[in-house]
Amino acid sequence: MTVAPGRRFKPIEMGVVPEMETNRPRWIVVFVAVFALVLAACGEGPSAGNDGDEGAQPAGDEGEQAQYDQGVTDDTIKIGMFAPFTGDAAVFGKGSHTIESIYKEINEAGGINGRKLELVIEDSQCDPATLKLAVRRLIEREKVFMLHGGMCSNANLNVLPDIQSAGLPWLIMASAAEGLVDPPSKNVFHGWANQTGGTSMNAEMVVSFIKETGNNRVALVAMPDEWGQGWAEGFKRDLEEISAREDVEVDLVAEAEIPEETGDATPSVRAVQRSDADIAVVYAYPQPMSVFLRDAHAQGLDIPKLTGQGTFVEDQLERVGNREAVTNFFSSYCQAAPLDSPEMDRYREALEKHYPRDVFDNSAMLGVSGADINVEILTQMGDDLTWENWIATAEQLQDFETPGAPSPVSYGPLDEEDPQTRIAAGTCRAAHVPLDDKKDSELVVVDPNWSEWTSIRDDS
Amino acid sequence: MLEFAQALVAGLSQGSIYALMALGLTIVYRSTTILNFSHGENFMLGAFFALTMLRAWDAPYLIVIVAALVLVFVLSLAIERIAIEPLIERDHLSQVFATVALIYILRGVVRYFQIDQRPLDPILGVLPMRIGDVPINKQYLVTAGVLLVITPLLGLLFQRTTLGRILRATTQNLRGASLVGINTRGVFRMTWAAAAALGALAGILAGPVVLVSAGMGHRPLILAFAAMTVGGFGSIPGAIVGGLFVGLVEVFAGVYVSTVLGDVAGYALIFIILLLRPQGLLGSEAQVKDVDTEPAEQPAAGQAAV
Repeated sequence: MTVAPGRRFKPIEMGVVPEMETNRPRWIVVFVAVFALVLAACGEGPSAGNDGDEGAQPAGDEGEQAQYDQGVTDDTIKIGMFAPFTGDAAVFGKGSHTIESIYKEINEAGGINGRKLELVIEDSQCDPATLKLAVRRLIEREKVFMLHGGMCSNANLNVLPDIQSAGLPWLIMASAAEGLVDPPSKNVFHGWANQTGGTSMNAEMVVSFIKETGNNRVALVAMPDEWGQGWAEGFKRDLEEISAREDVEVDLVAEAEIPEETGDATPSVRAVQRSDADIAVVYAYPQPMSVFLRDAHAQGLDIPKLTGQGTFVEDQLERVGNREAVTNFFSSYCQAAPLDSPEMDRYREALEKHYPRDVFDNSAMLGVSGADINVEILTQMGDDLTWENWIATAEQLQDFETPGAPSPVSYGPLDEEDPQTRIAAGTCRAAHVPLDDKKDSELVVVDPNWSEWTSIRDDS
Repeated sequence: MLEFAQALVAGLSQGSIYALMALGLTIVYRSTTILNFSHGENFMLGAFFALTMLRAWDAPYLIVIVAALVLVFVLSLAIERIAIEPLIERDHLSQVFATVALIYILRGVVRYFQIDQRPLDPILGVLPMRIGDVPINKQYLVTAGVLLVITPLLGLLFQRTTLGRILRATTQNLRGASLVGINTRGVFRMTWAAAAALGALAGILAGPVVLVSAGMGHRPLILAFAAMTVGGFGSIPGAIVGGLFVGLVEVFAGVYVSTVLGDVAGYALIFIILLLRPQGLLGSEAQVKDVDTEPAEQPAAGQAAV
């Protein structure tokens, strides 16, 4: 069992190892090196980074053999997955359960071109150090063919150089940071919407709000860390661009911060109230967001509040426990169809089958489009299962439709000036829960150019 | 006026949490001179145990709270016996490092078991109440009320009971306490566990307004240190006053100066107080000097029980 000639696994550079002093004669080292080279040239020994039990060429037809990279056998394709299943951001791991369930369904239906998907799953805990070790294990010990995972921007940014250096394909599950794909790199693709999908939706909604109501005072609240400020800057950039395009005048009247670890949001709420804002855009993790929504409602701040993919309406409703406090809150909905539509049945049924305790909600669809995209790419690759071919096939993907993404997916040849060549989804839609009891169980999904703001005001 | 009232209530509530945390730190510090950096994990464990029990059993909230406090108390007795007591004759640095190690051990264990983070249910429901025009989160009132009850109870315990006298004797003169037959190591252990229960109570009170997670104790711990600094290291009234002061400064700075400043105001207080009044608002210079010059005396082996 060998890997294809010329294919090498490049191990992660974890630091320079100092030269060891040794009394061993140099000729032994030279002999071992020559012996290894001879073995490699004969195609009978393991190549660097591969112990020979994973990468394989099919028997026979040597002249036309397809090429495999590490993690591929005649029967399996090994995929390394990672997401936070424990820790403070475990809610983000639910999407990974759905993706895993879809892959398992694919296996039960016979796999892809006769190969089963072998999943190796790591818990990142959203912790950069933990993820660093997990990714190293997946690449070096498990020798996976590709990576499909990543939910937390800071942790993902921490492993980006390692994965770029290793060279295997990485399909990012659902991570906001623009820095993961901007500038784009050869082997890193986003399988869903990144931050831009949320900030452009928020900006479009603000503009549609101004167009309908004539009220243009906007407040922006964000966590002070890199994550929050990244969202805030992205929103301001998109707002400037979209308002100019639509010829709408916007007045950004307040920019406030909300700490990540807070039990009281009075300062942020009062800052928005004092600014007399008509609409607020808030970027915060689930915990500070629920504190903000709770305090905003208690203190009479009932203006519409928008956010990106960091929080989910249903989750906030459960945390806050007060429907009135959440009724005018809109979060990103980056799928093409509503959760209860027939298009979503496939995902819901897979999740219910393999994770019966999981609730099929918006968070369970986090990054799920990546599973469909990956299955499509692997299917198109046939037996030519190399990293190069995965990347080339992904780059050729055009207008691929999946209910898991808000719009058809297209990548493109690497263009260092254009991150869209590596991002699956564009502008997201928005979800909210209306106050109306008749719609009690429904999550209402609206387009970014939605124009029923007055109905929300009536509700609240 | 409305804004001021809201900020006042929020500040007092936040401050009550810090005060309860600072109280726990202070009584450990007074009896052992150890700064317990793992006290934030007591805060977390209280909320974590309560949340886990609320989800597992349909028990009344009060019983769950008491059970969570007992669990933390017992766990802390064990931790003190296993991790701290063997180091009691070592230098302070070893002890502090041991408490730092405990942070990560306890967080790691909780992360392993906790699958989904949620807040605790509010003790008096989610809907705010109104006093005049001022909407008030009922959990804020509960938190401040608990501090109001705990403070005189602790005063009574320290001043009017035999246990309190033993605690004070051990704190003030360890060798003397040993000579008269007080089991000072037993006192240390009980103090450690009682302080842990105070931290756990703070965590349970904060649980409905923050997410119960393995890392939830970090910020309250640092702000409790700020409260100790402001009130005076080792001063029990100082811990309470300091905690309330830090909470009020945090919220008022956020409301009246800048939301950016609100998050750092508590931390900035540590520097300001150390520069202007190192002994804190209610501490004395002698107390600071005592702490600097008199490391904990070590209890003799084989002391008689109290």
